[in-house]
Amino acid sequence: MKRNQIIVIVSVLLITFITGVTTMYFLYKEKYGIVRSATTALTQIINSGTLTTDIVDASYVPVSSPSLAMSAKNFSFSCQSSTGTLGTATQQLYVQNPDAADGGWTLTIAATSGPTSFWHSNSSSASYDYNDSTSSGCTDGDDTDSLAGQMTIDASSGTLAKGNCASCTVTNITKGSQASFAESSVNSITLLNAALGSDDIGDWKLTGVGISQTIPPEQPAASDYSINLTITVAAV
Amino acid sequence: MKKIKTVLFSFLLLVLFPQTIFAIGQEGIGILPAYPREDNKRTESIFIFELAPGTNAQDGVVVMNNTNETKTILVYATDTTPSSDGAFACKQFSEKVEKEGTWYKLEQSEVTLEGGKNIIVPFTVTIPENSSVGEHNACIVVQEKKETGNNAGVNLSFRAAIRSVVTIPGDVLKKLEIKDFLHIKNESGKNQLTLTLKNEGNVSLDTSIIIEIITSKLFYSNTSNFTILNNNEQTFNFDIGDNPWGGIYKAFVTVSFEGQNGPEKITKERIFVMVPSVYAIALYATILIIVIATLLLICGSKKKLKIALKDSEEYVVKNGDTLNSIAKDHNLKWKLLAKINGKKPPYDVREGDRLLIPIIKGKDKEI
Repeated sequence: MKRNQIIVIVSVLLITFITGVTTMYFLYKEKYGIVRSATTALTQIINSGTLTTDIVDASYVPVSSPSLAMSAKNFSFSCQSSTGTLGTATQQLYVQNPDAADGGWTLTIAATSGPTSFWHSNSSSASYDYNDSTSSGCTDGDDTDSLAGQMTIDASSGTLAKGNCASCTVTNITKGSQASFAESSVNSITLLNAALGSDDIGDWKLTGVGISQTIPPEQPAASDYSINLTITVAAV
Repeated sequence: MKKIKTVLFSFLLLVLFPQTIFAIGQEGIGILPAYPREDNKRTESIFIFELAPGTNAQDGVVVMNNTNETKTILVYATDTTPSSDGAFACKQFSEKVEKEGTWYKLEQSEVTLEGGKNIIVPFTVTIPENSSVGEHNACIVVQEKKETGNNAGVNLSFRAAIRSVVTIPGDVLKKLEIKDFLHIKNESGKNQLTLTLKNEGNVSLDTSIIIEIITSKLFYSNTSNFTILNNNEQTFNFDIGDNPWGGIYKAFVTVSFEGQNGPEKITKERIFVMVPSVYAIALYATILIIVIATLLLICGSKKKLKIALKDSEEYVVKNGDTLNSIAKDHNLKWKLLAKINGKKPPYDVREGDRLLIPIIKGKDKEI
């Protein structure tokens, strides 16, 4: 190879390199507002991730306005129980940890409006409670409102599996015990508890979490009873 | 020379072309500490402060919108609330902040971010004068500001939080105990070991928990590292799997942690019974029935012999007698006669032999 040819090749490569690095510098600056490494020949872009939770479908696409239906019940003069399942094949409870919670994390569920929340029907204005432990929710008592009813969540009966990640495992992640909401003592229920030794990078899906709700006797019939629950993922 | 040229050319290509590694695709809204400290890797995930009463510190939280849409995001500090099993949890946005959550003042309570953007929200944490020694936990939380769902049933929303821990210097107390170590079969029939640890100290403790179940070989083993928050009782459930054959098991738990005077270990054991499956029970029952039937047969045979020998007479074998003919003459079964007289195959009898002949009466005649 002649000397001139080498000079031409080296020049072309240098121009390509400078153009590439400059373009990436501005792209990175525009996207993140900060530049972490601008002067190395090998440029790596690792987007900072955050610990998140959501409900996703089988293709890991977030479900908009996720909700779960409880089993329908007929009017009854006796106390009865309605059941539902949190996490199904098409609405999986999903947690992503892209190296954002190295010390472990918890996944918990609680009523969005706190311990004073209740099931409410807009059409009939009737309500019943989700956290009254008197007679397992069949009569009003323990708490400050005048409503009966109690919700129980059993994460231990659910199935925890790894998500998209190839190498992560479910070891070091434990499922919460069956627990019932009780005003002032149990306002939040544990779904998952990831240990310090759980995978720093990973994603997991939880399905089949059993929910049961005690419906007090003589609860007025309505087709639109609803309650809002919030699922929180917290780095510990 | 040609080889050197090729190597040089390849090297130039490798060095000059930048390489890009793409991160895991992410959705949702999240937060991270804005200024992690190099001396403590854990500050990349949570806030850690060591502050004396009456002092304060400035820090910041990165709020990230990982979605493709513009979102209005609530950012707030709140108290912790014990979840069932004692896991770390945070109060809801709607709940009154009364404890450590009041120590935090964020410069913004909500931010509007385009998809893929982030922002740092600065905050100040101020420690009240009368605060006690030890760790104090609070939550920094982000959640999308939107109307809650109105479908019949349970409407779900999501949020992300990080623990913020302030340690107030002074006499540190480290005390951990195993409160319970039980075997349970949960609602769905899964065998579990539940371990409850109680941290009675004033700082959180990082533990290493080893659980082993040993029968003739190692049946189950699990090692995990959990942080037990101060003044807190926490329960962990371990799925230990099933043994369809059932059995009696002995489980051991060893919890290691940095105690008051250096490394400490606390242990507990639990003996429990794993109930066999229906199929195994059916098989066990069949085997038991066979064993009982065999025993009954043996006992019955011995009883016959006993009855036979209760009353007997002597018979001297004559020429032409066989065991069968003698038995027939005395209305007996030849096998019984052989057994009583200790005759083995081919059951020959010779003239002059003396045989015991049982005298059988009434109900015993069937033997």
